[in-house]
This record gives sequence, structure tokens and C-alpha cells, in this order.
Amino acid sequence: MKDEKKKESIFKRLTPYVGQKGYMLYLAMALSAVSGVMLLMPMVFIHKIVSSIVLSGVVEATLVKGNAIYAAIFAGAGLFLYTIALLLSHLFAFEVEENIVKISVKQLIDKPLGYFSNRESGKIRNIIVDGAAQTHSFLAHQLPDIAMTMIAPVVLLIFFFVFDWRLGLASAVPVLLGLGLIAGMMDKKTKKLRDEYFSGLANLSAETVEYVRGIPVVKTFAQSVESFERLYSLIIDSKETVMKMTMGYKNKMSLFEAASSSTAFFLVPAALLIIAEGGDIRQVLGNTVIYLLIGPAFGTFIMRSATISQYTYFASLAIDKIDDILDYKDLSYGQRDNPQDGIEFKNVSFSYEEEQVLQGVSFKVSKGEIVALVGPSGGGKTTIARLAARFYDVDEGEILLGGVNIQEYGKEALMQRVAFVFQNSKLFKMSLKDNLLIGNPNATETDIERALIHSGSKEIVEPLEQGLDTMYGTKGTYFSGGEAQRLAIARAFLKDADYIILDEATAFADPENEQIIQASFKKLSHHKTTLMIAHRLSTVVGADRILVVSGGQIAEEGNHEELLKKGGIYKDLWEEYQRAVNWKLGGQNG
Amino acid sequence: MDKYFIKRYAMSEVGANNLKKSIFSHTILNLTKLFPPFIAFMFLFQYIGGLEGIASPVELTPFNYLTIISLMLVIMFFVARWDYVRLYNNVYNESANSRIDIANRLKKLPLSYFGKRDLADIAATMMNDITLYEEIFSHSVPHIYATIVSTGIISVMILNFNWKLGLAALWVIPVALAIFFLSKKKQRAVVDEWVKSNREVFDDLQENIDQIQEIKSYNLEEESLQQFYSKLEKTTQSKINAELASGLANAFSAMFLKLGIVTVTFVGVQMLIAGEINILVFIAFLMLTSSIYLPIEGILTFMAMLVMLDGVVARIKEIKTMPIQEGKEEMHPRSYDIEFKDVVFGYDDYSVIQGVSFTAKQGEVTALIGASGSGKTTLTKLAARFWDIDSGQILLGGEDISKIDPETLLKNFAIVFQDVVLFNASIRDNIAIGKKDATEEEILAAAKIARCDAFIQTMPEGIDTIIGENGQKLSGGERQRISIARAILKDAPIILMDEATASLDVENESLIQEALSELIKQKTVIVIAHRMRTIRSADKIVLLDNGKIDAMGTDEQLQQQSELYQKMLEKSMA
Repeated sequence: MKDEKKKESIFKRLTPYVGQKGYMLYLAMALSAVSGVMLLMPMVFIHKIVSSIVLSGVVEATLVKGNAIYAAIFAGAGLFLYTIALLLSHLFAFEVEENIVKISVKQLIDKPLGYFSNRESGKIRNIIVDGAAQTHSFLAHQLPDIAMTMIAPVVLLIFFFVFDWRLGLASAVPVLLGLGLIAGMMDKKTKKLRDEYFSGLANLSAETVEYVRGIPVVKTFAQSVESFERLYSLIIDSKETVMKMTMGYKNKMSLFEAASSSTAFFLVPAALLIIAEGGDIRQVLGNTVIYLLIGPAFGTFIMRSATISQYTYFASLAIDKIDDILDYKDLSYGQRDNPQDGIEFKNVSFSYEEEQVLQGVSFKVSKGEIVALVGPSGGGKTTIARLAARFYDVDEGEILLGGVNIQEYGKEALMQRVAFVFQNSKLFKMSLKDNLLIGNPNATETDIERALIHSGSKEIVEPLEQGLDTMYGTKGTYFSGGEAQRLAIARAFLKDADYIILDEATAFADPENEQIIQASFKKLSHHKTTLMIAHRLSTVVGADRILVVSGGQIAEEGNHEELLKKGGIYKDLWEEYQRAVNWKLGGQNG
Repeated sequence: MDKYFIKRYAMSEVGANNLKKSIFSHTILNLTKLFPPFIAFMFLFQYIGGLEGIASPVELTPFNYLTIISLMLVIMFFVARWDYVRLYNNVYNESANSRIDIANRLKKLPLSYFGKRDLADIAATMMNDITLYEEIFSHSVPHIYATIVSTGIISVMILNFNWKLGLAALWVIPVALAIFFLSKKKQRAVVDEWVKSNREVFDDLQENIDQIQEIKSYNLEEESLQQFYSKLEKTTQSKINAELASGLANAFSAMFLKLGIVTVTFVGVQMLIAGEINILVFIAFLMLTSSIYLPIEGILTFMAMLVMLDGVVARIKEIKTMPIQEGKEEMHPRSYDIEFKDVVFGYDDYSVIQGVSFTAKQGEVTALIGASGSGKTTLTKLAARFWDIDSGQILLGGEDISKIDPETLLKNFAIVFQDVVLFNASIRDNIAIGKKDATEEEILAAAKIARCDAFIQTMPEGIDTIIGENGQKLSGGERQRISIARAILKDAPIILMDEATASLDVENESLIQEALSELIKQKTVIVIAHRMRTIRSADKIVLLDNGKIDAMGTDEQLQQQSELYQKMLEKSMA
């Protein structure tokens, strides 16, 4: 299916993005074709002047001047139309470019959250933006030229019949030769080289990113020379490929260059031959003049068409990339709203691509309960939390909110009732207060104050000169990951959702606050359903229930005391934690 | 001329010299393109002259014509080939050299540059820019210069032949070019404007993608989308304005060129009637007007590319002028003490460190504590010359670090911070980067000491497992242990570390702690501390408050001297 789509013509593939302004394209092409004809007219008028002189041997001043003015008028008008055509095609191309970005971003924003967890934002952005720009330059610059190229043979034919087809044929030789050479340049072997070159370029740019990202490391370990050499050899390789490709065209391109502008080389011998065969000299000379005049103009036409196939290729490549990056199954949502009471996982299995992450996970979190997920990294804690916020859909089993499958709720209704805070929480570039108010636009000062205290954010805001009015993201007011996460938790508290899912990763890296925050959590989770990924065991001691997640399964379940008694994984983790807590740095040296 | 090219196009000396050569060969190529019209004129002169009784300078037989034409064709082919090979050789060599040159510069930038998230972006843009540069240079720049030169030569020939008609034909060229260059300045301003707003819009897009969790969680999709759309539409409008401006200017100058036909005809007819020229000259000039303006029109169509080139060159120059750090590539520190002397440092426009002096002694643990924003991390990074300080001095064993090449300086440091950079390579290669030519035994030993062996065993291909872009496949704790293994392998005399690195992985926290304890044995250690308990036994504790030292000494001393310290201690005990 996808491959079929790729074979479709570039125009068909652009249709979804054309919008209301499709007519502009046709208008632009039509104007461009007309202008192509008009630009040839001056040659006709000059020919009229010359051939009248040649045929009669007399110069008639008014006739000559009249023709000269016509020539200039047609030339000017032709250029004017061509300009209008280009402007139209640009307007059209801007429209399409904008639509590509709009439609892609709309699709992007509708992707399930899981889509974003293993894709780089910069890469997505570049593919959409660059793709739209590529398409723009194709539409804006190449399309009007395509129209001109298409009418060129027609016009040429007309000139054949109006004047002398034998001379016309001779003058067409360079054009035909040029077209033949261009066609010949696109054989399988060069196509392969071209693909190689472009994939080499993409590779080079990916490697550059890796190189730059790695500089701090290689520098620290005094190995910048080696890492530089890797990039170096890649640059040289890519140069060699492109040289090989370019030099492969060496003879054909040179022949093209030499032949495309040499109308006279073919015309003069033909004229000599016709004269030798007894043709009327005056007639032949007059007709030779017209072909000499239009020859170079046709040369320009084919030069333009030479680049068209290249740009078409770029444009379809760009659309391919956008299609590829947006190729991801969308989630379907139901109509239900207002989920009640508890989260339940029923025999849930899930895998990322090939890799099985969860197998037959079942548990229940009731209203008013705090359940903590602990366990080794890579065990599946984060996946469970993400599934509960419907980042993905499960492969097998069911996730129920208030006894109803999570898939039956509407997207907005679900998000209204579920609050989640994961690692890498982001704040928006607005004042801290506005950031918090996103959680609940109607929150009062007291609500905000309370949320700040409960999330341990109070001490982040206090030292700021402008307090809550501080604009996030201006001059040095960036926060550490942990601080940003605490503010995000404050925001989530304000949202007052029924389901709270959070990852305490970096939020409470500072154990001094842990006690306070623990207590706040208890208060807040009253009448709510809370699922928390815990990294520090001190956080989970007070949880109602602890799920030990290991190897994609729930290995143990119970509260702190019960699990300690069990003497299993949790007990090991706890002992490990006790050792860690007593660690001291320094002093061991002296 | 070379100097002009180097400055104008951010070129290397070789590149400038080669551009000159390309212009030369392209000019020759342009001149060989006069062959066909030359043949045409000879033919017309000979035969029309025969009809009108005007003697032609040469009389050729059809066979002569064929011979000359074949010869010319062969010459044109070889000149074209010569020009082609030279041009592309130069262009691709120059762009490869630019890439290498820029890569070289990038690695000399201060380490602090690499914390900024858009640096990788800059790098990617840069590679794309050079591709564009390549394209512009292979198609337009030599062409433009060569056209100017060859048109100049042709003009002189024409004026020499008949100055009156010559002027009638040529006067439009300087006028059209003047319009073109006058509008170029204006166009650049408009183009710069939309490049800027374009960048803003797309930064905005990336920000939206980065904040997608928040956007979805608070049902802000529609709102963010509309905001983005309206910004996008504004940019499109400014692009349209730019296009309109340049399109009209171009069209106007191209149309102006067409007036040449009229003036030639008018002047020619007058001269013909006055008997100043014969009919052949008149025809020749008429025909000339059909082709002499074509190369100039060509220049006009390259206009857009030229405007783009200015932007590309500016960006390349920007990278070429970023401040690089250099210094002696050899150092002989007396000891591994690090001494801060009245160090003052600020980012752009706000100050972070305001006069700090202390010494971290060899073989001791020096802990930096203080609220976030007090300057702990900055101070640690300054010791390794991530930035250059504004005033004061930082000495390593008596040597001023600002005079030492960063890479040489860094040989003395092992750095274990929270942000670990990993490569898309095997675990082995990622560890091996710690030491050039490390043996298999050394790598395995370091992995073991850093407690990496447990998780390595669970990987599908053990230590040879490829870990994905920036080590995607590993957890935070695993990444951290690889970075410790690197540091152990490096065995540098000075350790800079962030204490929080230990607490990234709950089940292995004590393992990482053990690894860290191994790492710092007998070293000069500066640690950024978060938990009071962990660092109370440090040899020296430096308490920072708002970029200044509040107090320093051992735990005991600080308890006596500093109120702030007492407060922090109380809080941590609660």
C-alpha cells in the first residue's frame, strides 16, 4: 500500500495539501505557457525587419520602427506575464507549504503520547519543516518552467510549418540532442549513484549531530582527534561519491554545453545545402534568420527542463519522509466521560515493537489509595504508569477506569480526570503563576499557595525576586529538572483530577523535604486514585500498597511491613537502600 | 582578488584561488559560445553581401564551413569539459574543506557551548548550509563573474566595431544591473526578516513537541495549534512580501533590457538612411539584440540564490568566529591542588560567581554545598575550563588554567555529572573512550569496578551490545555506571562529581556509591553536594550563598561559624 503510494505522481501526492488555491497553479502554468510564446514574438518581428530588407533590399523606416516597437512590447508583456505566473506559483507554493506544515502538525499533535516517547523533537521538526520547504521550491520555481517546456515542442512545430521545415529540423538538432542527453543521464546506474549520494548526505548530517553531541566527552578524554577523524573520513567519502557521480556526467554534460547553444552549426550547413540544391537564396537567408534568432531561446528552455526531474525527485523524497515520520497508529476514543473509582489492570501484556515489556499484569488501585511501583530499572514500572495515562494501547488484556475500559472514554474527558507528571516535565514560557493556572484557571491565591507547599515548590518560588510573576525561560530563570518537576506536580495538584499518576524521579532528589512532601501526598490523595513510580524507597514506606515490578510482571505485592516479612525482592531492595543511606563521601582518605 | 573572495564568501585561500581559476575557464567557455553566431554572421555576410553587392571579408566554400564548424564544435566540447572538471573539482573540494574546517573549530569551542540544546541543530544546519553553498557555487557564482567578464569583453568589441550602435544596444545593461543591485540590499533586509520569523515559528513548533505531555494532559491541543497556525500564517505573509518585492524588481530590470531592441532599431535606421552603416552591420546588430541580453537575464534569475548565499555565508562566518579556546599543549603542575583566586564569572548579563577564593587540596574531598542557584555547579565546571572566567585566576598546581589548551587540561580531570553522553556504539567502545588504546583487561576491570558487569550480562550481546542513539536502551543508573567506568579507566588525578549521580537507580544506589568511592581514592575531589549527611565527613566543606562563600571548613568548624549551615543541618535532621 505504502509503496504503491510512493509511485504515484508528485502532483497526486500533493493534492491533499492544495486547499482552495489549486486554480492558481493552473493559471500560473497557462500564463507561463503564453508568456513563453510571447517571448518568442520579438524574434518574429526582428525576422520581419531583416527578411524584408533581405527580400527587397530596401529599408522602410516606418515599417522597421513599427516592428521594433512591437518586438519590445511583446518582450515586455511576455516577461510581465512570466512574472505574474511566477508570483502566482509562489503564492500557490506558499499555500501548499503552509498546508503541509499545518496538516502535519495537526496530525502530530493528535498522535498518542507514546509516539513521542522515543522520537526526537528536533528530528520531527526538521523533517516537517524541510519537507515543506523542498516542496515549496519545487512548486514555485519548477512548475511554470514545466509548462514552458511542454509548449516548446508545439511552438517549434508551428515554426516548422510557417517557415521552412528543413531549416527548422536543422535548428532543432541541438534541442533534440540536449533532451536526449538529459534523458540519457538518468539511467539506472547514475540513479543509484544519486541515491547513494543523498543518503550519504543524510548520513553525514546525522553523524555531524553525533559528533557535536559527543565533543564534550571526547574532549574530556583527549580523543577528539579520533572522533574528528571518523567525521573526516565520512566527509571525504561523501565528496568522493559526488565526484564520481559528477565526473560520470563529464562528457555528456560537456557535449550538452557545447551543442545546446550551437544552432548555427547545424543551420548554416543545411542552408548551404538548400542553396546548392537550387533554392531561392533570398528566401533561404530570410528563413535562416528566424531560426538563428529562436535557436538560443529554445536552448534556454531545455536548460530549465534539465533541473526539473531533480527537483521532482527532491519533492517526492521530502513527502516520503513526512509520511514516514507520521506513520503511526492513532488511538480511537469513545464517548464516555466522568470515570469513577479506581484503576484496574486485567491481565495486561504490552510490547514496544518487538520487545515484550509487560506480561499478564493484573492489579487494582482503589479510590483513596496510594499505590507505589518499585523495582529494577527496565522492569516495566514506567510502562505501567504510561499505559494508565493511555500513552499506548495494550496488546492483550484490559485497563479499566471505574470498571470501564479506558478506550471507551473520550480523549478530553479522560485527560480532565487523569493528572500525570513524568520525568522531564516542562514548564511553558510564561509566568510561573500562569503555568500553575493551566492546571485550573479558576484557582484562588490560597489554592495556589497550598499546591506550592504540598509539592515542595514553595522554596523554589520564595527566593525569586518577582515570585510567582517571574517569567519562566527569561534570563537565568531556568530550573533544574527536579525543580521543574515539583512545579509540575503543583500544577497537577491544582488540576484536582481523580487519578494521579506520577514519577517522583528527580522531584525529591533532596531528601530533606521528603518527609514534608510525604505528608502532603497523603492529604492530597484522599478520595483520589494515585499510582506512583518510586525511585527512593523512603518515598514508598507510607504507601497503602507497593507493587514490585520486575521482568514485566508483578513479582510481589503488599505494604511495606508485609513485603519486608516476605523476604523477597523488596527486602533486598530495602537492605540495599539502607546501605545507600549511610554512605559518606570523603574522610576515607585521611 | 583572492582576499576579496575569502572575505566575501568565507572561503579558504585555496578555495579563493580556485574560484578565480573557475571564473577564468568559465569566461573562456563563454567566449567559445561566440563561435556559432560568428559562423552565422559569416554566412549571412557572405550571401547577403553577394546579393547587395557588398564585398565580404572572406569567401568560403561549403566544405570550408563544414571544416570550421567541426573544429569549433570539438574546441567547444573540450573547453566545456575542461571548465566542468575544474569547476566541480573545486566546488566539492572546497565544500569538503569547509566541513572539515568547521568540524575542527567546533571541537575547540568551550565545553559550556555544548550544554545548549540547539548546538546539534546548528551543526546540522551547517552541513545543510554547505550543501546549499555547494549548489550555489557550482551553478551561479563563477557563472556570474564569468558573464560579467565575457560580456565586458564582447561589449568592448562591439563598441570598437561601431560605438554608436554599440551604445544603443548596451546602455540598458548597466541600468538593469543597477536596478538589480539597488534592490538587492532592500531584498536582503526583507529576506533576513523572514528568515528570523521563520526560525521563531519553528522553534515554537519544537517547543510544542517538547511540551506535548503537558499540552495533552491539560487539553490544550486546540489552543496550541491555533497559536502555532497564526504565527505560521504571519510568517507566510512576510515571505510573500519578500517574494513580491524580489519578483517585481527582477521583472522590472529584465523588462528594461528589452528596450535595447528599440534603441538599436531606431538608431540603426537613422544611421542606415544617413549612409553611416551598410545593411549588413544593421542586420548584425539587430540579431545581436536577440542574444546579447540572455546572459544578463541569467544573472537576474540567479538573484534569489545570491540573496540566499549571503545568509549562508553569514551563518558560516558566525561559526568561524565563535570564540575558541586554545593554549599550551603541555603542562607541568607542581601538584594537583586547585586554587580559586577571587574568581568572578557571569553568563551573558547576570553574574553567578562573585569573588570566590578557596583551594581544593590534592588527596582531599572538597564539598560544595548551597541552595540551587548558589553557583556550585558553575564553580565545578569553571575548574575544568568549561568557560573562561571574567576576572581572578584558577590555578592547577600553580599553572593558570586559562593559558592551557582545554584538551590538555582535561587530561587531568575525570568528570562524573548527571548528564551522561553516550554514543551509538557498543558498551565496550563507550567505556573504552576513557583511555586511548586501553587493553581488553583494563576495560573489563573498569566495567567491574564501576559495577557494570551485572547489567552487561543481561544484555543480548553482552559488552558488545550496541546501545542506540545516546544510549537509549539503558536506564539512568546504567548510563551513570558506564560514565564511572570511563572515569575509572581514565584514572585522572582530579575528580569533579555531582553527588546526585549516585541516586539515579534505586536498586543499585549502593553499588554506584561503592564505585564512586573506588574512583575517588587518593584523588583531588570536588563534589557538588545535595545531601548534608553524605558530605559531613568531607575534608573541606565550602558553603556557597548567592555566588559568594558564606563559610568554609570542616563540619565542626562550620557548625560553629555559620548560621546558614546550622539551619541547613537542622532542616536535614527534621
